[in-house]
Amino acid sequence: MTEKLLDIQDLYVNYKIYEGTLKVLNGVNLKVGKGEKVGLIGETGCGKTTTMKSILRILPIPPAIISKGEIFFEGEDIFKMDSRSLNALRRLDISMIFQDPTASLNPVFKIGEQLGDVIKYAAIEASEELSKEEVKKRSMGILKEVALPDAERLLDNYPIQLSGGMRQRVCIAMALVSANKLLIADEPSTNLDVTIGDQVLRLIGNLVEEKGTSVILISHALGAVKGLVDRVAVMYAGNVIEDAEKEDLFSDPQHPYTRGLIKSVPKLTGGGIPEGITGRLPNYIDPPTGCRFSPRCEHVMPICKERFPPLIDLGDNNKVACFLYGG
Amino acid sequence: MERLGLKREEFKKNWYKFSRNPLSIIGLAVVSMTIFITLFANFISPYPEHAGWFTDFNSAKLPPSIIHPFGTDTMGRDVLSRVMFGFRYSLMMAFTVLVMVVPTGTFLGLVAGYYNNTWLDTVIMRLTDIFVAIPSLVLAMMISSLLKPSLYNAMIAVTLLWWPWYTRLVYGIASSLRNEYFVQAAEMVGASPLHILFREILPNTLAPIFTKMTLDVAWVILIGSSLSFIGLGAQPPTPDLGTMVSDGYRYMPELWWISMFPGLAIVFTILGFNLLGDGIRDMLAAEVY
Amino acid sequence: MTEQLLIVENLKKYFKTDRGIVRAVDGISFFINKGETFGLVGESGSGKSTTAFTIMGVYAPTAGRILFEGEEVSLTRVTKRRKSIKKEMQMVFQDPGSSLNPRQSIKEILELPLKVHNIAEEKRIDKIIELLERVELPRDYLGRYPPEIGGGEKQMIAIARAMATEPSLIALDEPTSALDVSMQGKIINMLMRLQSEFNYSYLFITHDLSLMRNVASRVGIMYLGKLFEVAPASEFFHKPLHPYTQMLLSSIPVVTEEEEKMKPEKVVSRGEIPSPVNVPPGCVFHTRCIGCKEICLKEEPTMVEIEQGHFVRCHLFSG
Repeated sequence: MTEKLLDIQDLYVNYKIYEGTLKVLNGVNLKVGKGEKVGLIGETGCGKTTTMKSILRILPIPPAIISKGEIFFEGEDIFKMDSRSLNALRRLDISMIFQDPTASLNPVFKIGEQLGDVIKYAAIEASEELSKEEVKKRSMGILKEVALPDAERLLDNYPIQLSGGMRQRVCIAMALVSANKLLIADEPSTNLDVTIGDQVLRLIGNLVEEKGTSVILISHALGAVKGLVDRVAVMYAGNVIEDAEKEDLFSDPQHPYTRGLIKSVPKLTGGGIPEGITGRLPNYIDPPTGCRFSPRCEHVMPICKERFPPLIDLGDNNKVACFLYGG
Repeated sequence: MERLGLKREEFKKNWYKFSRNPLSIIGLAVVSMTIFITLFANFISPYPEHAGWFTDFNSAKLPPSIIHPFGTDTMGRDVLSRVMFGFRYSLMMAFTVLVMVVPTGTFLGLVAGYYNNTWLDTVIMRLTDIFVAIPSLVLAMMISSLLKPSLYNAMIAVTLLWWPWYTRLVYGIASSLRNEYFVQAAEMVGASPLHILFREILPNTLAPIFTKMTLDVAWVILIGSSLSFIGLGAQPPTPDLGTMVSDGYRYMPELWWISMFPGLAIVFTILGFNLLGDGIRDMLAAEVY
Repeated sequence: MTEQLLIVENLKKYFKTDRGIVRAVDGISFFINKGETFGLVGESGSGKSTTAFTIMGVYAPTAGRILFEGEEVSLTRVTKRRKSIKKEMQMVFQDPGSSLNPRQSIKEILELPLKVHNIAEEKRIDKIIELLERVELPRDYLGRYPPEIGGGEKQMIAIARAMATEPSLIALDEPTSALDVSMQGKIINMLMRLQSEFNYSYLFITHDLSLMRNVASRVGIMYLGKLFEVAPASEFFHKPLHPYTQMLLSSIPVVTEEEEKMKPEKVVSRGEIPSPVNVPPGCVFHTRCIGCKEICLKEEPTMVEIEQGHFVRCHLFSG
């Protein structure tokens, strides 16, 4: 198994709101190896973004509270890092691309200024001194890498002058500067047109191949994830309930939720759309005891309500959190 | 039955949002006290007759004491009683002005917003711009001096200069809501413009209007007092707080109590309404998860 | 012969902006038969939503004709249309959040169409309950407010509202794009059931081709205001003729092997979608088309019928 880069262990995160405490993350376990590309799929509200924000420690605390668990990056506990190390982490090692490129770019600053800032901070972290020309040269270089034409003119533009696809590519460029080890892409193509989104995903794929960066690609669109990653983790209501090699997951899903999810996706081959999974996401203030999917599961057993199933190793790097397979 | 239970829950939640900041509670207490004094000044003031024509030069210019906690003024009138009645005039002015200004300003804003980018919008909003461009106190002074100085005319002056702010506030919301899907849906179904203005758009403007109204009470009182202070508002012997400040300022600092207490009363009222307004704004603000 | 409920002839909708004239819809023609689902697919800027809005009357057309049951409704914005026409054409919007007035109860929202079309007060509440039953929502939703219910349920209310006047044509603009896959399945199935029960005709708009495959009986694809190809669903997906259709189909992310095999050979999408203010001359797609010929730069192709019911607008076919 490839060397471990990121290791999320048993992460519990709550949000305190007026009505009570939302127990969102219920013991998330996820590992990402060096150079590995992992997809994280799950529906809205299952906790994918919360988990990712925890890695970079950009959760709004309060109202969020990390009640239990650790995240190790290259062996170091992220939650115990001091601000110096955390900054170094954010400037050089890990970076994140968000869903809405328009919201990620500051509308009143030129692209050149924003990209320049990122480059400067990364350089400072690496103890480099860069002159203005150097920064500009690197900016243009990185814009070329993300296949943006006319880099010189682009640096002088404001985000509003660019199309959605171009803005997302600028965000990718910015992320690449500071993502030498891990790139987290949160729904990068969801807000874009299919053809442009396709280009963006392939771009991410190529770039990480070249640099050997690990990727976590989050999406609620299953097909988008499939093209890019090697491994897929499925989240439901605050847990990773299945974690398998891409081919295995899509051709032979094990967890009842994953099966339901894949069945619900409309198929190009036709055949109608199945009803979808009955029931709804649980109430996080008062979640079901044990396995959170149990109220909706057709294979539910008494043990499912007692405790949460551990991730069971099925071999071939495939794991599933379900009592149907043991535990 | 169930709906009643829900209403109680809603009330409790709103109270929670409101009371998170202790200053809001202070604001609520101050405003309640002000309103109480306004309503019951006749009964709780020690010398209610001092609020009108009254002279007793034997008791004039007395500093604060047990019988006259705020002292007496140059005519021998008890300052405390006059201040209590003074609240009445301030609040009355604010209430009257707002009752006239809020409906008209809101209506014009709704119309201009819904019919935005038409001549209706242009006419209404440019008219608004004209009024807004003139500094409020100057405009108030202008109007007051054209009419005979009196509390009544001061109210007219303030009304005339206040409505544009509500029009602007509502215009901003209405013109953006106008393109929302639920308004399109109402049009598609065939709802009349009146329905759309008052049942679709207006309910979505009430929260900011209400907040602004509360804060505006403070502003109107301030402007009204300012007008009275320069002689354009309530005339003697009306115990308007501004007039009282102006009566006493030439006797500063020896007979400090004559101006000081009415002045403090103005500050007290304005502060109270501001804090209450902030609290209401917090209460109506959307939850951020 | 199936009756044509809606006929659109050479419809145009232009918008004047400070950056120039946006030709959102630039001369499209199609028809919708009674009881069928006609799908309009395309990427952002294609004009599909604008088409729906123009047909529904949110915009008045710049040119062209819209015929509903043979009657011309083109010249007017919806507010000026006859009430009896308004009742026949309703719409479900893309964003459930802003489709329902957050300050009105569900009951008020559903009551409005009934009030406007003069249904007697005593009969209204029964009708509202019936509408809720159609979308499988319980009675106690009547007293609730939109912010209290989930996105999927809001869409169900929006659908119930659209059906309140028993229209013949319902336009659905990306009704499930904002929802998760499992909720989408529920709503689409509900729409199909209701269609067969009440014989609605649907104008269904989405950018999700896999969804379209399972929903529409006939599909049209739009690009920069033009209609490039119209065909029955199976033809459209198994034998796409237009290069743009092929490009789009080959880019969609799919999940199963069979779907991969079905996709046309990978046409790597190139270039950006041109700005609608700066539409390329000749065939608007020529800047990205691999089959671009010299004529494509100069002349706009015309729509031709290649097979029964399968139309294409492309110089490769109308040489």
